Amino acid sequence: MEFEDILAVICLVVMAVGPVLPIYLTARARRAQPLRHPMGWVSYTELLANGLSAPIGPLLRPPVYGPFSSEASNKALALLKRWLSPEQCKELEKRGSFDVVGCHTGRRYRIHPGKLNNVRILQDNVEVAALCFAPTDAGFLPEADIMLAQKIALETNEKAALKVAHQSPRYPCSLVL
Amino acid sequence: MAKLCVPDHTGHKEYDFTPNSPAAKRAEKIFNRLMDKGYLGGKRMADGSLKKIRKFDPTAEEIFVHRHLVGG
Repeated sequence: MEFEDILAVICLVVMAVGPVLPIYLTARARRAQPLRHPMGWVSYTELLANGLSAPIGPLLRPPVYGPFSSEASNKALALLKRWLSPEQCKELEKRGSFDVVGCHTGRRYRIHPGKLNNVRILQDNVEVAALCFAPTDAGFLPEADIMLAQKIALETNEKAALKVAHQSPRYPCSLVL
Repeated sequence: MAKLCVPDHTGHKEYDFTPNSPAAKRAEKIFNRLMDKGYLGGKRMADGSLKKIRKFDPTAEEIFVHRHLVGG
């Protein structure tokens, strides 16, 4: 191989690698920089090495807090049961929902577990419409607390509850309010 | 012992009180503060009857307050 050939090969390699080289070098420099870690500043390679050398164990599941924890749900459910009449309590245990009677119209409603569209209007014991209303902070509350707020609203201030309630489009609109 | 229940992400907070006690005054203060914020309240009497309330009732068996209702 002559000198020109070697030069040509070198030129080809430089042309091929040239555009990619800055990207590679930047990425490498970035990796070499220490990373923020809960235990302090560590380098990427150190972190990777530790990760690879660490024994594989069971993943630790972080404890669940908030409205979705079983503790909060159980607490809210116990409170709800204290507020239910014996008949409603039986219904809740039997089928997971309970009926309430509106204080103004005398209409019957069925409150299912849930946060959206969980209140149904009953006609001859048949669900004919779904209503959706809840406290403004419903997203942060266990379902039982929301069900209790709905029950109190319908049994003590039905008109106000119906005023804000939205009706599910699945059911005929003519029935409500 | 009567209770004032305020729902939150942990289920709810309970403030126990008996009529004419410092605890009742504390519960009344909390109740009034929440009412000023726009909360709605309901009370359950010993016979199981429910009533909407705007004023703290120390004779209630249990009081439940919640934020105002909105359509979802």
